[in-house]
Amino acid sequence: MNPLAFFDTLYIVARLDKTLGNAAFAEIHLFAYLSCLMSLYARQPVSAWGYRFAVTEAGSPFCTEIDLACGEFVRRGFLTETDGFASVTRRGERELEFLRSLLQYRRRETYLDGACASALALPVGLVREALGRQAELRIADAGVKSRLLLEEVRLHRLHKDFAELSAAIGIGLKELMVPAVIWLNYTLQNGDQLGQAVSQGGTRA
Amino acid sequence: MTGMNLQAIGEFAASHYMAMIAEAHGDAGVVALRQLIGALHAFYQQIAPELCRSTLTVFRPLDPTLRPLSIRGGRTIRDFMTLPADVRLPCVVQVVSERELILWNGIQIEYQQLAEHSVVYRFEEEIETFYAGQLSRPVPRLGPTQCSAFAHPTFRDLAQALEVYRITWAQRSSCPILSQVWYDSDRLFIKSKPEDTMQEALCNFLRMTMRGSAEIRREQPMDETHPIDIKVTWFLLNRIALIEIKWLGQSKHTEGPRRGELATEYSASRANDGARQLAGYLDMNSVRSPTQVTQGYLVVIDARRAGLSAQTVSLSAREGFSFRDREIEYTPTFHRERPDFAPPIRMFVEPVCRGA
Repeated sequence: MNPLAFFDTLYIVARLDKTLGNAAFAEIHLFAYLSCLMSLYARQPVSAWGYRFAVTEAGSPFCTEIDLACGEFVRRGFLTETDGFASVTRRGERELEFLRSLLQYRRRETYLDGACASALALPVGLVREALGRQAELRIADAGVKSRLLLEEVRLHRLHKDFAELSAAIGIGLKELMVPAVIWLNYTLQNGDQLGQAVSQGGTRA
Repeated sequence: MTGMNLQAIGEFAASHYMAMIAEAHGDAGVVALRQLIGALHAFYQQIAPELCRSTLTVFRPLDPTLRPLSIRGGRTIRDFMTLPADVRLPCVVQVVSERELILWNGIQIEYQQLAEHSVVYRFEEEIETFYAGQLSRPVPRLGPTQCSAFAHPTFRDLAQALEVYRITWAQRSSCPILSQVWYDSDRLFIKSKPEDTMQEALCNFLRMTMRGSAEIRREQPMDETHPIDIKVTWFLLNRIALIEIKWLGQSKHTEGPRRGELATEYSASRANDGARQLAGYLDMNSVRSPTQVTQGYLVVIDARRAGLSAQTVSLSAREGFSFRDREIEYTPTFHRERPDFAPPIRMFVEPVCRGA
């Protein structure tokens, strides 16, 4: 069991539970991926995230460690599950409270928090749509069945966009909800163009 | 990369309300914004923004202990279920915490002044604006079926989503995308070849509102020549839905020498054609993907009217609504014989009628 995926899963379900009433299992993967992107925005190396994402045939991010954590949490009674949607139990809340007190998760909580807060400003369907238009997941559209996402060699465009975004809104801003929502809005409006450019020009600008 | 404006994201960010609030009030402003948006979600769950005919002003001071409005008559709200009974627009709401508001009914305020030390939100004539410091920015409209960016219905069930679309957005052609299919403002005639717009309208709605792992895509090929109109894939649940859209009614040519002439007319038999077509797609899919759980949905946009001719410019209610309650008879009844064929959904779109 990957302890980082463990923490992220419980945190994300608790946050989406509060905002949306529950969390679909697919949405946990989605917001974990967005959280990882927020860590990239904060200039952390992708290798520091602690687990990898693959892209499914449908063009969505998926993580085996998150999937395992979901199953384990339901088994342990930290989550309840109905028709593919999860909610946190009291037991899960206590477990999360304990985990949040540990120093090792403090920094990544910032990224998770910023990503999950985007669900306040955008319907989850549009978060999914925006991420689906992101170049990394668009390349998957071209018929690659399963591939690891966010390999450093392909992140040039993303790093450039994030650098420009952070220059525009202020590097010192602690609240990552702002870059998350702005970047998602931007991708919704421009994602087709970005995806095509990456497909035509290769993975480096 | 050709044709790319590498400055675009910076310019886009500078015009966004969140960047504006961060610029005006820093991290404290963003904290205030989060609480304000949370309150808006709760507010709009009780009071639909479509029903807000006058101004709503909501603010959250940077210092949550402040009470900047010294106006008497503010009511403290801790149970948001009482909002429908308590709110009378125009009104002003202070967000005290996630579970507490102060409400003043029937007043307008100097919100620009308030924005010096608060984050202020205004909803007026379906336009949403944030104010912070000396600045203001509109909230981007995310989709045509969304009255407020902070009130978005979501659905776990596709059939439920389609039913809500039928009642809320199709029935009176309130969907701004669907509204583009009409040749005339009274919705008597459809423009020639409306299929693309109808697909886009429903697809857009489903993308915004479907929860879970639902991926919604248009015109997915079933074989070399036949695409299904909309395909919904739930990748974690091994389920897909195939949606076929058919329209009924009378269309008119919109361009060229035949502009204004009658074009295609589709009657109830077109719905039966659609049902047979969908059954065929389901059969094809069961061969290609035998392990997937598949459900087919036939959506019929019903714009049939009685008494139409090329010269018709208005209809009575009796003529315009003559097909409103006339359900389509299907032969064969795939929805009764096949477990993978959902009951067809007929969406009658009301015309504007003049006279009884």
